[in-house]
Amino acid sequence: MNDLITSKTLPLWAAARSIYGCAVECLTVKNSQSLIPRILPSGEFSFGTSLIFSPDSFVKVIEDGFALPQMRYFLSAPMSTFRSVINLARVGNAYRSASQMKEIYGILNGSLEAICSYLNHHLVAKKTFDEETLNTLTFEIKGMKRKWLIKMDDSNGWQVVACSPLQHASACLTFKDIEVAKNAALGALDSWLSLTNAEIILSGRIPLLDKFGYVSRIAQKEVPRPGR
Amino acid sequence: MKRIQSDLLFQNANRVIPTGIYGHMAPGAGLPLDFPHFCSSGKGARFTDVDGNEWMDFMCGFGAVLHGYRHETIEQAVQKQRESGSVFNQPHFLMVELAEKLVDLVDFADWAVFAKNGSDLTTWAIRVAREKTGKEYVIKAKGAYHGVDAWCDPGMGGRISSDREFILEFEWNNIRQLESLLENYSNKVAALILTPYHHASFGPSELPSDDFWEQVEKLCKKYEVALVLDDVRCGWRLDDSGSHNYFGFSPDLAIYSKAMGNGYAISACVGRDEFRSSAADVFLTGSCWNDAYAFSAALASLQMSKENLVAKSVLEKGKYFCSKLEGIAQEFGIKLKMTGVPSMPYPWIEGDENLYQIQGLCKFAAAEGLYFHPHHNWFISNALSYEDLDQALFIAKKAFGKFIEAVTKDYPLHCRDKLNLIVFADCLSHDVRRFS
Repeated sequence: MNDLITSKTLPLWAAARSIYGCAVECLTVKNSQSLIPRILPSGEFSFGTSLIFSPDSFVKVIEDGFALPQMRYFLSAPMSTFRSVINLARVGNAYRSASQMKEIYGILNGSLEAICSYLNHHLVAKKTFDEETLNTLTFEIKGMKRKWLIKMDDSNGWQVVACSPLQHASACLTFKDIEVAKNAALGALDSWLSLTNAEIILSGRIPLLDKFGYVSRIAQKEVPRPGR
Repeated sequence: MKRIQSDLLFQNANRVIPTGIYGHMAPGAGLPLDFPHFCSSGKGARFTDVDGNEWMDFMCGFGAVLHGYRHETIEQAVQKQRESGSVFNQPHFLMVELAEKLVDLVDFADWAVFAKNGSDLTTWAIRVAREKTGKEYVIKAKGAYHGVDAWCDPGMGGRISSDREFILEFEWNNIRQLESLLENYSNKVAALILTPYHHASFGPSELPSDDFWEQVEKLCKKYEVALVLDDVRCGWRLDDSGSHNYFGFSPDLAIYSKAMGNGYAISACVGRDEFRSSAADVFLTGSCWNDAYAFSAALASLQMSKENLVAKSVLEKGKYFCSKLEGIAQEFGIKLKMTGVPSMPYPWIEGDENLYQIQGLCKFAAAEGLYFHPHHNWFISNALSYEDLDQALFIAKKAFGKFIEAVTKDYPLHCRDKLNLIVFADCLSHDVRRFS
């Protein structure tokens, strides 16, 4: 599938990963699996096995909240397609509401998934990390046990993985509170100001976070978001 | 420490300046919650921030100040020049005096040119080398900083793939790798640009191995490559006539800036006669480059360096300070090593590759008014007296003690009792973040 991820398809692929990343946090395992994304050789985007959108429709789903999927799959597997539709709507609600803890965790997880897609497939982003040997980053919310770890290994590339509260990484980004984490994930935080007013605290190998920040800004510019 | 104006000013700055403060002074590059964002004045080895806090300085304006802030001799020279003016239609006659001074001071130099920043002339120097040799490639050490231009800047944005098409890199001190590059790119390499020793940020400094410079000189001769010395950061801190003397080698071109003007913006490139005609053919100018204030400051600064043996002085002060600081750290079980040369030491803690411990130490030092940078080499100001250094050491001991107390407070005994063990380092690295 990597061959299908090009500079043209990457923004939508990152959006699809982001939706799945959010689903993993907000939905049950079974429901989140119905949103595992793929790019098909036809260039269409699928969630689960049967909910399939053309690239244009997928952009509409993200930005406007609704678009018609490819009906031929809908008709051949109505139950699983319907499940995917419902779950996709739930993720959309999580983004719109963003009030419950699990929704905010979902948005944060989704945004890390999107950035990982860029780290894995965007030419400039890949080059940015070319010479780094220390490749683990944690994201924390002050006072909360929950952490996110992103790491790179040769076989899987960059990925968001489970992380124990005591796990150390090469660098760490700590959000002051859940609200700041949410704003950061939604791209609504002034990252320069937040560094100086303790909304965001960076520690460890700062150049890694610097590079991560650069890639996240590229992704933020390109990946379609709800309401954009 | 009081910190109101600094934050308010940063908010304003962020509205009208992208990122508020950019480059190596950007908050994120240092300690954004501990270092002030803006300064208001300085004298000697101390500066005052916009909230009125006084700091004992170990960064010297990131190296731009050697004799101390607002040194009287230099200020008087500039004040005298102010009566005549700064920039005119033609260069001020002080330009010639300064060029003569450099040609006199630097043993291999036959000519000199001037600009404002190190970058202006590192980039120009490699163009001169290309003009002279007719070759395209430039070799540099991996991780070395040579300025803000696209061929070498450490940032990420605004770059196109061709920017570094003709730039090759080797690991510092790896002569075999360097030779292999020269062999593989035979007759294609115009210049080898190096700093006197390797002083990259975010890692320990590395001195040249015993025969490094001898081998480098041999290879440059063999492959007809111009040896360009980027002495911007080290210049006048290792030797009063150029850092090549400190390590015993002789480059073809050398670039100076920072300490040369003691806070007044000036840079210089000096070179051998063989490069004179190529230098003449590579265009060079800048709006305020013929700045007579900076020329007068540089003349006074170089004169003081020579007369007062300032390089020797800052090396000795640095040696005194670094060995005592390492000793204090050791008392607390912290394996601190001040790497590089003593006049511009880089603090490195064994086992702290991710920098959590040094960040913690520097945070606690900052709370006591010591400007210890966690990610960049420090600079020893010649304005620091031995009494100042003792005072700084006294304060550092207090700060290190508070740091250790804080990180061990809630930790099990095995961490507190065996301060020098890896397990302690592990606890530190985890817990430093709690104090952010």
